Amino acid sequence: MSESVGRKIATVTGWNIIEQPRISNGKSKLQKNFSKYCQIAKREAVLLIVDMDRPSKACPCPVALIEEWTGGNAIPPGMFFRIAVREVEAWLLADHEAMRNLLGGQPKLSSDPDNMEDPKRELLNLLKRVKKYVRDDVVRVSGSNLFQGVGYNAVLEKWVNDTWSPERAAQRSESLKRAFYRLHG
Amino acid sequence: MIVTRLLLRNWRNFIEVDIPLHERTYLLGANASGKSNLLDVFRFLRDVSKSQGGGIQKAMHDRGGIQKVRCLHARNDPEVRIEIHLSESLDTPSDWRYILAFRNEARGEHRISVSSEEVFHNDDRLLLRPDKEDTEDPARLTQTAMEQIQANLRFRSLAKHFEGITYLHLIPQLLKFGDRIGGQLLEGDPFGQGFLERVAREPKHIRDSRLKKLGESLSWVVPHFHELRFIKDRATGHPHLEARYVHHRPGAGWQREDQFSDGTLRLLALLWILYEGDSLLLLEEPELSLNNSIVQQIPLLFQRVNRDRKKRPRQILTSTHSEALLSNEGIDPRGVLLLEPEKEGTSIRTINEREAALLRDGFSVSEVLLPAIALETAKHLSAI
Repeated sequence: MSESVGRKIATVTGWNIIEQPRISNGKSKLQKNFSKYCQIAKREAVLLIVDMDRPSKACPCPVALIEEWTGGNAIPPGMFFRIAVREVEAWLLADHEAMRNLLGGQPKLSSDPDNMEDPKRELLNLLKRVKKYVRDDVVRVSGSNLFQGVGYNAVLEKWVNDTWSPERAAQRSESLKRAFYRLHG
Repeated sequence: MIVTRLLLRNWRNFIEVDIPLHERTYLLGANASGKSNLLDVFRFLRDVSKSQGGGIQKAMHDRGGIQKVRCLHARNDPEVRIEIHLSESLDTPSDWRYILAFRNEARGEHRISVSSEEVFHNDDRLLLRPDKEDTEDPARLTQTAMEQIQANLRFRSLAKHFEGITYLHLIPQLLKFGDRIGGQLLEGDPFGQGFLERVAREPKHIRDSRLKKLGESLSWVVPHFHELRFIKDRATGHPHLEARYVHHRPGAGWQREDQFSDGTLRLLALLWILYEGDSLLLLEEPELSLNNSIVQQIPLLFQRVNRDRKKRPRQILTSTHSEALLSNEGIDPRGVLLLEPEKEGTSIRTINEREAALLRDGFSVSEVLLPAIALETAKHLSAI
């Protein structure tokens, strides 16, 4: 999901995206390869989006996360290292117009998604409202629990690409706003 | 109807198995752990129940006799036992229960002899064998009641369900070069050689509407894929599928199935079969020859075709090695079965509590379960 969001932001801000095969997937793998991405960033621009996730003792805020990943070393100028607070789903929820387009009707949407406890859960709850045709793809209900469905990524990635606007979403998410303007230069 | 539970004793490399099945079940295990052997139980039940050329003697003969089927580790127990539970849906208690146990005749021709056969419907016992007549005439035990029209009247729907079980492990080359290979078609067409004839047999309006939907699903995962049509060769009368791709020059011709990529052809056959029947569908490694980004969407393709079917969803049991397929975080972990080779045979289990917790934390099935299987394989390799 972060990959699609990154692509969209980069496209909107006028980056020239080099089709790079996905090198690694998942936060821990990204962290493991962080120094290699910094090497790349010496030659070309690299956009790295990482979910903040739940704050922990070791990592209470985005600054601490950056500190943890860089080990205190300077980040090369070509590296755009952005943290989604708490996760990239909050950025999706921040574009109300696109959300209404996806969900239909007048869903109740948060005006401060960056401060949500669990944005993904919130998004899944909202997705329960979509028309049945799409709903079975994107959410899976198991007992009283709600999980992502087999088409969650496919459907939302398409929606990010077609409908979601980082400019609109940046108006409600501080972390996205920073990412967006940093990239805009 | 869907199969909700399976119990086995001494079947191939399983001494004892008791597993639940879901609407979509994925079988995971190292090479040679017995995934295909497990799928074979269902093919066996189908072979027994077939109204044409079926029966337990033939089904066992085709498998090389009971000595090939019975678990090697079952030293003292000569009997193979299968018990299967079925119900209308996952949430309802099981309506049907079928038990079949057999062994070799101790004397004479050493034919397969049914040592017990039982059918329950909503806890009513409809059949219990051996019965009095069997005791009087032991030759009757060389046939199951399931395979006999005269005997299966009260559980005919069960026999029909077994008969409708489909197994698919499409080998594209057999289809593409069928004319030149000239191979004989195996019963039940497990390798998809007769796939085009299958398509040809459907009435035109059903075929056309199905191909249209298939084309839509394919265009969604296969880059540039545009549309699909069925034609019969004017000269030879052979059925063919043709596809058009959007990047072709306007007016560029249609491509025949022998020009399709192996992966496209497999995907096409797989989706077609999903539309076709109502009974359990057994798939062997659907990920073969497909790009990972497509493989990742296989669970969604299953879901969409099942939704588009006018009838109830088709139950699917899939064996897979694919990290990409299992990285889809939407997979219901209750439908995942793990085959674990042990000293004596293989055991099968569902995910345990620790693994369930990891999955709840947001890890995918591939991240949680594949490392254990890789470890198993590594242990094996290091012993070489």
